[in-house]
Amino acid sequence: MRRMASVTFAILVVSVAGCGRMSLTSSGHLALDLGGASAGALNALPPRHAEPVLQAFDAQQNDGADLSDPNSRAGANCAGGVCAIF
Amino acid sequence: MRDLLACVAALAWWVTTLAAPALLWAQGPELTASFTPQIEFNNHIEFGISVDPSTVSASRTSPQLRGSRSTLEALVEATHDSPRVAYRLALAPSVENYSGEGGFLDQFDGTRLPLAASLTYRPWQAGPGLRLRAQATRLTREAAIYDNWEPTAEISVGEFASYEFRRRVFDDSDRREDYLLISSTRHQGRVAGRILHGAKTRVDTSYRLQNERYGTNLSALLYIATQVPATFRREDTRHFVDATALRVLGSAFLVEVGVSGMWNRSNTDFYDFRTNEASVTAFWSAADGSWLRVVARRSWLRYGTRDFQETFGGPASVRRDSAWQGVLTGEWRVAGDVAVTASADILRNRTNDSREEIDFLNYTQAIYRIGVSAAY
Repeated sequence: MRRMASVTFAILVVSVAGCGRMSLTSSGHLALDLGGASAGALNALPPRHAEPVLQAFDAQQNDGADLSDPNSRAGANCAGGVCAIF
Repeated sequence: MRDLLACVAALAWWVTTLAAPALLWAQGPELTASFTPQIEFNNHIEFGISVDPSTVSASRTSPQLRGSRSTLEALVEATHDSPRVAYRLALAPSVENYSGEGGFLDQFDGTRLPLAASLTYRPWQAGPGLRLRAQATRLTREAAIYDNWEPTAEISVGEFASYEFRRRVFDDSDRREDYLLISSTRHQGRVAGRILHGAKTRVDTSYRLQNERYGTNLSALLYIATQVPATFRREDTRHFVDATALRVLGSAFLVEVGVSGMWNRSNTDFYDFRTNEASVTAFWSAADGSWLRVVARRSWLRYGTRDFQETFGGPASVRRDSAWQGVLTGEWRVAGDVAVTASADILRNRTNDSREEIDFLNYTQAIYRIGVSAAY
């Protein structure tokens, strides 16, 4: 069952990758562009040309990330007592 | 290999810490500052003492610590950005004051002093930058058991590959019942990728591999609970996988769905566990910079072999927890550089163990925050 799932996943990845164009964007991401309307506009263009709501979302996600509290228990995979056992 | 990585990280840390201020001084930095007073109510404060009763010494009748935390944080940044290189130096001191539980929470009053520096070099104008980042954080609390230093160094290539070294060093090496209060060394590698479809759809994925080694100053209680010899040194290897799919639905609105998984493999099976999360996020932003975010999250935790029932003499069953979480966060621009922030965070955790001793894991946590941010 697990082998079947792995093979299916691998086929899916290769198929998707074959349809797109891999590139390093100016934002520093390794991106696979699958085309679509206004292809590449999401990140190939400088941030000022991206969707304003997306800029606001990314800015809010990154805000203070590198100064975040290293002693905090907040964050992903920290619920349900997981942090307690570290 | 670990020693070599630690040497590279130490070198990167010193180069960044010394070079960033010198380069900033020579280039003429742009200075910004902001101040953020904030008050928070939390009905389930955790500091490594309100957790597993089989491995903690603090004896209290209720695992729920209720109280408020007042925080004053300042952020001073000096930056310089040019097409080829960028430098950044940031200092973000903060003071925390707790109140509640008849003065019991006063021991958590403390200060944080993070100092961060980064250097970015862009060999190609359109390509990813090479970045060195160094940070040192000093944390002190009224209860000196928490006092520690935490140096961190990171080397990254754009946003798609990075290596991070982190060391946490507590001031003393007295016996502790919680691994969060023991010095540790962590190495982390991360790779990330992005799939784009048009201007409004993207999928982000990442994989992180972590290795963490802990000190040996454990209390006898922990040796009994984990059933390991007194010379045991815990070492964990963690795998993190996550994926998010985002769709812009209008000029001011987007939604994101995400899944993540974490698998912790320790050299003692007491600490083997895995967690999975699924989440949905809705985000709205206004032209003046105000925004609102709503997140609903479901998470599952499963241990490999940890058996509470066995510890307390009941029938065997492996611990499994599940949780629901809802978070509402917003920021309103009330003037040019002044914003009011507020959030409500509710988490409901349930465990499969029905014994009274474990009932502290069936809790509902509520955190409410409000603050003001002013930038100059």
